[in-house]
Amino acid sequence: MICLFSGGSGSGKSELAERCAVRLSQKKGAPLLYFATMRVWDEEGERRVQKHRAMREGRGFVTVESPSRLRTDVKDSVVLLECLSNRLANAMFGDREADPVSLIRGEIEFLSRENDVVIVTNEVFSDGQDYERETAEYIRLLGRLNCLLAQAAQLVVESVYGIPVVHKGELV
Amino acid sequence: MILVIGGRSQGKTQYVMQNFGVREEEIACAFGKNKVIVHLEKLIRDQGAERVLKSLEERADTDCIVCCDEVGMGVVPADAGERAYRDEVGRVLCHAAQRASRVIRVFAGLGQVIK
Repeated sequence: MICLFSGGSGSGKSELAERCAVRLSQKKGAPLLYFATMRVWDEEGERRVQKHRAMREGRGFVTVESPSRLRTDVKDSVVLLECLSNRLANAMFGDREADPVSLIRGEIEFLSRENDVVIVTNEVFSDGQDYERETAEYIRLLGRLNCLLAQAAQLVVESVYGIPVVHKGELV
Repeated sequence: MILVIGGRSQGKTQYVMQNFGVREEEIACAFGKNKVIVHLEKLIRDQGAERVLKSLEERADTDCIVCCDEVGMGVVPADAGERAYRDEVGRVLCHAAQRASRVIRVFAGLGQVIK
């Protein structure tokens, strides 16, 4: 199963996604894996990682560093992938993957056959600004990935300052 | 406290005036005697998140209405200060949404009660 959580910066989407992952794991007694996609470059990145670690503490997540290709050799687990926007940025600008959308979609759909996959993605689509080619392409591909994953997902939730607005399915 | 959010220029103030019978003189971008506090995002930029959170807490159990632009739905800015600002607005609004008795999101002038 795929559950997709989106929202803007500071919208509380991580917290909602984490709670969903914890509930799924409790229901099934399944182990909780946290696929961390962020590459840390500087102190701000380090602070962000620390903040999220503190949020997860005591919730039983095992962290799997996943800046590049995702591990697909796991099963009967609940995987929290945080976040799709970093995974895509790394695939495009770091690893220079030829077809990042198909690659990432394939990884997630494969994982979702034998695991519950909870995905955090990002709303970057509404500032009305024109960007140069690379960034514009990034926005287009993230939008495409969000659409494809929302189609495959059983649950699609937008976090609006911690309030879950359900676009598809029912909250678990 | 009622929280009204939405993108820029979506008609939040107009919505509040029409739906809550508020007069123009009851509206201000400040925590004063005004019933309606508009542009909370500007207050956060000018006064900082902590001071705004404190002011909100003082008014949270009253019948005030707080309006704020949603600012976090774009590409993460290259400027560190702008990044921090968006996170701060989000943090304040997560708290305000929790404390509010009702949260309304205005889209093209139409309000949707999400809490």
